[in-house]
Amino acid sequence: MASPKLTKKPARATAKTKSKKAPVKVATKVKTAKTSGSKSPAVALVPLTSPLARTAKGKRPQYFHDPATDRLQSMLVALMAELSVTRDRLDTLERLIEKSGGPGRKLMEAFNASPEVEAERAASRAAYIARVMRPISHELDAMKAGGKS
Amino acid sequence: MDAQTQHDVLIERSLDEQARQLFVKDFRSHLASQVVGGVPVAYYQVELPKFVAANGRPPKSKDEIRQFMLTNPYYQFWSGLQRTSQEMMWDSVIDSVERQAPALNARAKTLAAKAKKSTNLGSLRLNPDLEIPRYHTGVDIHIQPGGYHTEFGADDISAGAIYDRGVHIYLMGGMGSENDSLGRISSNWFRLEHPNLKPARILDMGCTTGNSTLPWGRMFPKAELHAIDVAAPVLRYAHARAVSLGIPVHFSQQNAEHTDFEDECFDVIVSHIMLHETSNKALPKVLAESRRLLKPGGIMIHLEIPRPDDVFEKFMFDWEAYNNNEPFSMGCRESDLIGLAREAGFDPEKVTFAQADAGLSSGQRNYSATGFLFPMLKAEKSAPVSQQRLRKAA
Repeated sequence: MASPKLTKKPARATAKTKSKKAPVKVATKVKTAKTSGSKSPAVALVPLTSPLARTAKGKRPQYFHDPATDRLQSMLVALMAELSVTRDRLDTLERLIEKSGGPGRKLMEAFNASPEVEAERAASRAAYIARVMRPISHELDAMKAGGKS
Repeated sequence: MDAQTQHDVLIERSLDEQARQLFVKDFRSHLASQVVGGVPVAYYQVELPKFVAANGRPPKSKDEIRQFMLTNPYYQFWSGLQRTSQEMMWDSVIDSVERQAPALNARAKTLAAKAKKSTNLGSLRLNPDLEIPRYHTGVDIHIQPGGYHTEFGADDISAGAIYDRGVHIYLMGGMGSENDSLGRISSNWFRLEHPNLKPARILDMGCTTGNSTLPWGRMFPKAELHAIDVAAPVLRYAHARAVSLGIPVHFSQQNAEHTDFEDECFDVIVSHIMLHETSNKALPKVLAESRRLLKPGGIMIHLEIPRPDDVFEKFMFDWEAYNNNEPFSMGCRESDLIGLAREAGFDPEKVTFAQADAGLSSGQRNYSATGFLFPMLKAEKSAPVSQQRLRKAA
């Protein structure tokens, strides 16, 4: 339906993009645009003209006396994440080996974890996080004990 | 568990992308259920006794609490982790969006073209001349890189794709499979309060990707549903998402402070945690604009962020303001919304405040040990014949 006649002023022209940066090629693995419904004709890809931003505008607070501690903390959590990713991937591989005896990239990417498997993974991740976060739970326990432990 | 409802513009995740996003979700859940609870312990058992011993009285304000908590090691470490988790959340989603953007943008275009040919799939009206307000361009809200408004190419929907997936991770799925719990809360509440009203035209202000908009469409399928936002990329995404999910919504790129809608054309005007992302200057204008747009007898509901009474809880909720680029959240939380609605011209007796429980689990709450109550500012525009007219209009 066309826009309902609710407006005071006539509708203005649509979409025009203001791109301040020079176009940058963005690597993409996606080759084809899937369209919803088989009747719709395929539409040409609409690539980005600059990479997506990775740093938010606005000053990042400093949490520790030494800013290096801030960086180290973030790096530590990033490492946690990567190990978690690897564990998830390994888990997939192991399950596939059990299932078929011949794991390949295609099979791995296509692997769909069942709700039961996802629940197992979530429990495993929670335990893993708790292990790495142990220094904090120790600090909390000590505070609760009034500094006696 | 990852139970976000699939639709045509929701990102697909590769094996590793999915694992990274689920890690952030589970890590945040751990912070919420196991770590943040130590901050009140650090306050009540460690810092507060020291403060009382030194000053002979408890702290008078959240700012006084902030002064000494900023040097508490436990608070520092939790804050750093919370901030880091927010950064990793966006980063993990941006990986998927960047990889798929050309296809996602194309898919959104296809869906928009389909809607244009149809009479019941809603519409999208963009205004490239609209000035993006300073409260969006000053800092990136929620530290989402680029905010809601930045476009990284023509017909770009990236900001919307990032936001829709990010929000799901942010509250650990606590807003439901369509991130729509706030819209369900407000629309359910409206229906219970006004069982006989059948609104003919509804406006959702500051809709972002339309998550809170769609429940209103489901609740009132015969109503003409409108939604506005200042940011084009989230609106393109919202339109494609709504078409994909089969709820007709008329999206337009407009500032809620001053829209181009005619006077008195809506029966209901609603917003969901939008006011605190505006400014001291904008907030009264949004309320005045709401009043202008409402039909006599029409109803305004602005659902807002929690407003705790306790001074320590106030300090805790300020975390978002200082660490997650929500600069106006403190000002909005402290402002007298009822007074402002009255100043905007609403009949003083028709302005009220209600609270709705978000029903979050302890692993989803972030800052509050006692619950997550969303206040709702409600006002009715005075009219002699309101209810009959509203019923007729439906």
